[in-house]
Order: sequence, then C-alpha cells, then structure tokens
Amino acid sequence: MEVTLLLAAGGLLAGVFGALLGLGGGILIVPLLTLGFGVPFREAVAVSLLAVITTSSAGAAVYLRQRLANLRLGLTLELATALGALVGGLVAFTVSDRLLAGAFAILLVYTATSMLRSRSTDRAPGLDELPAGASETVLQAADDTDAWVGYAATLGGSGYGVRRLPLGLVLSWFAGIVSALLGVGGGTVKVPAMHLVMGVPLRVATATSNLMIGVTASASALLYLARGAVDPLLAGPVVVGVFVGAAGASRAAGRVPVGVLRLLFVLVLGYVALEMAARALGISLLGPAR
Amino acid sequence: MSPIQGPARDEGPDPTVEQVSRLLSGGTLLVLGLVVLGSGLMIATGRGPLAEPGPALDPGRLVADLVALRPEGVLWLGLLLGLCLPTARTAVACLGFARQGDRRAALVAAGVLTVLAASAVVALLTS
Repeated sequence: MEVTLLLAAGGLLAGVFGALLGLGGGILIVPLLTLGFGVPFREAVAVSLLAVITTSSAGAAVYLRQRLANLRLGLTLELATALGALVGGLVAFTVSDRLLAGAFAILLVYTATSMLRSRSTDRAPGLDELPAGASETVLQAADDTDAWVGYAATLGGSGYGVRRLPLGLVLSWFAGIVSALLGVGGGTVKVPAMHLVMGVPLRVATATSNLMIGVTASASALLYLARGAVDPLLAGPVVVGVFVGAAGASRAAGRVPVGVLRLLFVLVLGYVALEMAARALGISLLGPAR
Repeated sequence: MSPIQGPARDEGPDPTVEQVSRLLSGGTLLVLGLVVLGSGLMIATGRGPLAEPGPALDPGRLVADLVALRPEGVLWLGLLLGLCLPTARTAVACLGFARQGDRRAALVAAGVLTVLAASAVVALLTS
C-alpha cells in the first residue's frame, strides 16, 4: 500500500510541476520511476506514455472547447509525429538502457537551459505579442512550394496563418522519435517548431502540442504494450497521481510564483540529469529503492 | 514572406471540434474512473505494484478479471481505453470532416489512422 501511495504522490508531484511550467509530467515520471523506484527504463517510459496520454486527452478537451487548440493543424502534424513515434518505439528496443539514460540526460539539460533562457525573456514582450512575421528573421528556411502554401493556408486559425509547413513536419517527426524513446510529450520540440518556425501564436502552439501528444504517445505505447513493457499495477497509481496533480495545478497556475518554481525546477532537472548521466556511464550515485 | 491567413472559422462553433472535445471529456472521465477504481482495489486487496511482476495483458482473462473485480482487470480496461481514446477522436474527426465536406482534413485524419494501424500491426508482428 505504501508503494502505491508513494507512486501516486510522485505522479502528483510530476503532474503539478509539469502543469505549472507547461512541460507535461513525462519529463519527471521516467526519472522518478527509474531512479526512485528502480523500475527498468522501458517500463518507466511505457508508464509515462500512458500518463501523458490521459492528461493530454483531458487538456485537449478543454483547449478544443476554448478554441485554443487547432485540430486541423494538429492532425496534419500528427502524421509526422506518429511516424516518428513508430520509428522511435522500434529503436527503443534495440538500444541499451545506458544509451537511453544518456539521451534522457541530454533532454533534461536542454530543457533546463531552455527554461533558464525563457526566464530572461519573461521581461521582454511576450512572444504572443510579437507580430506574426517577427520570428521570420530567426529562421530563414522558407522554401515553401505553392502546393505546401496552398495546403498551409487551410490550416490557419482566427488571426494567424501557418507557414513553413515542410520544416514543421520534419521537426514534428523528430518530436515523435524523442517522445517514443524517452516517454515524454515532446512539447519541448513541438511548441518552438510551431511558434518560431510556423508562426503559430504561443498559446495556440502549446494547446495544439497538448492535443497531439495523445496520438503521438499511443503510436509508440502500442509497441511497448505488445512487448510486455506495460505493468498495469505500476501504471494505475502514477496515472491517477499525474492527472490529479496536473488538474489541480492548472487551476492554481495564476496564483503560484512561477519564477521561484522554475528556478527550483531547473535545480531538480540539473540533479536528475546528473543522476541519469551517471547511470549512462555506469556509476551509481543514488541506490534504487526497489 | 507574409503569413498566410487561414479561412475564417470563427463564425460559429465547428461541429467536428465540438464532437471531438465531448468524446475526449467523457472518455477521460471513464478512463480515470476505472484507473482510480483499479488502484483502490489494489490497495484493498493488498497487492503491491513493485512486489510482483506486473500481470501481462491476456484478452482471454480480461472479462473474468472484470467480473471478479480483480484490480488488474479494471486497470487493464482503463489503460486500454485511455490508449484507444486518441485513435477514437481521430476517427470521429475523420468522419466529422467528411460530413462537413472538408475532404482534405478528412484525408489527413485518415492518414493518421493509417499510421496508428501500421503501428498496431508492427507491434503485433515484432512482439
């Protein structure tokens, strides 16, 4: 019983942090299960995928109702993320745990660095306030053909358009691979891809990324399920914890000092990255509880 | 290069989007209810998540486990429904867009369903 409650509490914490910082719970579930409970890496990834599917479905329902998530754009990019997830899910079973732990450590460092960088841009005008073409100087990879432009024109929403669809699809494919290999939603790749590359407003990009997580994660979760990597007794309490944590945190989001929380989270990410790197190198810094 | 403005979709609610949203809301509640029930049964029956190897998915036993209210049966049903929810919402979107005459969006949704089906086939073939 204690382990069940501990798992639920851990999931709750991951859900709270994830929702408050817009990262999704996946980034913390895998380290929690592998480092804290001694769960094998692929089993932890499978549990994380199931948890992010549930929270993404709940969030997507609300975002669609509020007309923040763009269903047509999401479906188009899901073609690429689901293909990437299929590839990633197959690759995940051919590489060693240590390599996966090393890749996860890199993802954690990248996420922590991105969060520190976004902290400094908090004082600048919000990204949503930038004119639609302002990010054009950042990436000049626009080589859209007429056909792509024509299709992209049907994907825009109220007050914004979509551009550089081919590049967006490539990045989405990569996000699918990352999601399947490491059990995360892939928002750290999809949101910048949609916002900075495709010119989608940040709030719409975040909501659409959330919508896409379900399809992306289920494409690879099927592979984990078929290989017996899903333990329902382990997944149950974690899914409940993450869902409750994310739901509660999203209601309290406006009242929490996110700046302090973000710094704390960066420290946690740094520490977890160190642990994951140690695991990748075969050094044990923290004994598993299992 | 100026951004391309999309067609104005804000004249009224999009029926397909509304349907997908309702499906996701109802589906998530059902999934969560089952997973909470399964976790509760796990605690009530003294089963521990890490004390034993997790029960593998056996479709033949699922109904019997559910009838006997065994935690693994209820948890498997909840998790499998959760796993199917994104596919179901893509199917609903595909049909909805087809009914609305948005052939391109319907085709894209059908493409996503094809990739998901391919994933299931690959999973079965390589397991």
